[in-house]
Amino acid sequence: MNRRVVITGLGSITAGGHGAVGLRQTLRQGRPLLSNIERFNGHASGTRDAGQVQDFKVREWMKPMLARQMDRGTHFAFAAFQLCLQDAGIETQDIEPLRTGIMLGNAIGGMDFGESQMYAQRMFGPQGVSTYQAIAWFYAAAIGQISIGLGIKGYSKAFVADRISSLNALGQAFRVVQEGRADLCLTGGCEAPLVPFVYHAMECSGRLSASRYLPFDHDGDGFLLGEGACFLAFEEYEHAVERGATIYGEVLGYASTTDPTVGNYELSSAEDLARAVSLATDQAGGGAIDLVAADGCGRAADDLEEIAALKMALGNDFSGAAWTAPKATVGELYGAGNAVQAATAALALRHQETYPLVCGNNTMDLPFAAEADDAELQRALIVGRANGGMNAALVLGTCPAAI
Amino acid sequence: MKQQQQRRVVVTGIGAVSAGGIGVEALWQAVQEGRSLGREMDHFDMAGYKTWIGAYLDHEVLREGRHGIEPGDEARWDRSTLLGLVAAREAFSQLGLEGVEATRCGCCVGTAIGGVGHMEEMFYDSILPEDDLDEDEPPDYVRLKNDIQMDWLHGYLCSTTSLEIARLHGLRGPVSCVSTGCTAGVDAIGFAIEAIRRGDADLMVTGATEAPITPVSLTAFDRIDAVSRRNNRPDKASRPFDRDRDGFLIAEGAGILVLEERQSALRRGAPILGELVGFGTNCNAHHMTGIDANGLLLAKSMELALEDAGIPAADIDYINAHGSSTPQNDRAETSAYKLIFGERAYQIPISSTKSIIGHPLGAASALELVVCVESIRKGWVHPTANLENDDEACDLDYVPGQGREHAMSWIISNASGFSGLHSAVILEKGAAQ
Repeated sequence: MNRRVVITGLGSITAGGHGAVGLRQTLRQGRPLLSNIERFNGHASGTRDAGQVQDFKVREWMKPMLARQMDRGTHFAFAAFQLCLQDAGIETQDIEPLRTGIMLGNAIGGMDFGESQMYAQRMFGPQGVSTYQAIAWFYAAAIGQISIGLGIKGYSKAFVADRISSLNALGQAFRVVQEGRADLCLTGGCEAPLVPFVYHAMECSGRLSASRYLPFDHDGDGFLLGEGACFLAFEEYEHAVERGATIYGEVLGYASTTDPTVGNYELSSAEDLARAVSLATDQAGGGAIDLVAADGCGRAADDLEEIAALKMALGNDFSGAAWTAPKATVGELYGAGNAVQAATAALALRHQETYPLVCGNNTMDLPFAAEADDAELQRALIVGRANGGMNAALVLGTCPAAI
Repeated sequence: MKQQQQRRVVVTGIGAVSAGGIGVEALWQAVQEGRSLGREMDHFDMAGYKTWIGAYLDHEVLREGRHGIEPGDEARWDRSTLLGLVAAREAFSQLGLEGVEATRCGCCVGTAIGGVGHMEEMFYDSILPEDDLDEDEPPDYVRLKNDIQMDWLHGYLCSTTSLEIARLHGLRGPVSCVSTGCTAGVDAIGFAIEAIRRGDADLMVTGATEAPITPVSLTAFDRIDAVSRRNNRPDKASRPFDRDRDGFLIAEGAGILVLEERQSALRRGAPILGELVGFGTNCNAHHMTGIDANGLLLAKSMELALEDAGIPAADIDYINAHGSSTPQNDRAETSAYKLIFGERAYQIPISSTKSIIGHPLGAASALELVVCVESIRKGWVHPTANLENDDEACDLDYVPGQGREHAMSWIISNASGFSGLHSAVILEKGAAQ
């Protein structure tokens, strides 16, 4: 007796610009928008490129007094959330408070705010620390600020699970709408990891590339980070149709699995990843996958495993799928990265097009497009992989009534 | 009835680490005695803090070689992960995963602030000593201490406790972490209930863990006067529903529950300690740290839980309150109970477990549910400690002084937290096997 869940809006703030239009433009161009990290101001030696949000003025989204209470990641979330509502054609006053939720993925928390305050504590003692520390750092901060700002009172949660945080959030949002606990759930993630201390920790984890972020390239040695936020509006089908919403696509299946045998900074075996994909595609009622919005973490050995897992899970259908790895254009948004992949898949389904891959000289043998192209797409798969062997997979489809 | 149409979720194991000590029995003994466990903290230099009291384990309790803690574990993980692992060991019955597929077993242990303590240590280790710091010049960690192997990411991430439990017990299903401040425990449990009902898993390890007695975390609460300043009488500091309450008592702990699909549990002969029949949650869109005095949205979260359980409010026999001992929470909570239960609110016993073990943030509601499982099985409700002076805004039966025998079929346990989140869960006395 499950209800149908459709995607009726997108909103993002990334290096790839603002909103669905900005993201689509970036994806179509397929050029990486990563550059030397300006915020470090020459500090943190050895720093490399990252996807940095440009032309973002906090005051356009909130009052300065409110902005001071928030971490940079929450600023992005606050803005991306509103862009998502706009794109979905929902005015703030039309929100049904108790039937609307926020489901957010975030891995690092408000460390931009937190780092400065830890420093202040060392310099001036506890009383030198901001009174906003308690509400700026923790993981549900963005949920609180958004719900207060927009009057949202429904089922709202924050998920933390390394790089699959936001896919966990999307999965839960799907369930909550499907099972009737909300009619609308804006879901995605936010992350602001371009903080010297966080950046160094990421480097120490060994997952960052020493040069370029080249997904599915035999020379790839890791990803580069990005900052930003990305939300998708998951809405109950009848609810969406009734208000005449534009539908990007339908959410059809979600699953999550774990490989408990790998190390702290290693990814799951192909078998356990394949299991997540199979569970999600089965739930979606089978059918061929036409587009893979891949994790593409940029380390060759892991990307080969991702390919192997999809071969395992999709069988004969594997060769029919187009591939895209959108995080290479805007950087890996870490706890929010999967939301960017999902937004990419939703755009591709809506506009029936594929996006080019950021390519090096030694790209793996996969059906990657060199340029954005028209395509007939029915189903898209989003793959999520996290350190310590956590996996998740989400299946989206075109919504028949919408075409 | 809703619940007859769906897979049912039973509790088959519980584990606890609290200021009362290691184990459910130590927790139960503490709530039976009904005395607050608040005391002075000496974990770090308390100079500059307005509050230096909390509730915590004796320092020597959690050391390598004890409770399954192996050499290096303390350095490898945050203390919250250690606490979670110890509680999880207890919660797993001797059956372990026997008779259930590892791929059908998952883990979702919540936390409010996760590995903050571990991260702080890394931070302060990697910056210059105080005297050499320059106010205008932020540190360059890489240049300063490039030799430090900063493995803080794994220790810091909130999902690490779930992941380490999954590794230890070989769980291959969904592993995640719900991190929603002080409602994280109920929220993680709610997530687990839903996962089992819909068939994503047959067994979920859930609950929450917290180790917030760290310099930075204490500062955060100290700066906004959220914690009690009754430093001269730490044993009187946590006094929920008492007129003279002045904030919560910071604490550490972990409460872990093993939940299973009922048929699967029966098939493999797992002990059924109770059934979780309802979960409800919302947020109040009111204030980041405040709560609406009339308790309207708080009541709504409990209504949603009742609706989910398919039982009327009249069936609830006992309430395990959030009861944080902050002036505003206890008043709002009392109002919310009156909204839901009407005149009957005066007849339902209500306890605040935080009056005894303090407030371990996200772990509080998980430990409280562990207490509820014991209460419903034993037919006994624990007192609210330190309830000495009447507050006219808090005029319900909070079981002052002594605990009492009380037969129960359904318990509601609720939680509130920063960001205006409210959640509630309903426990039903498990039918005999």
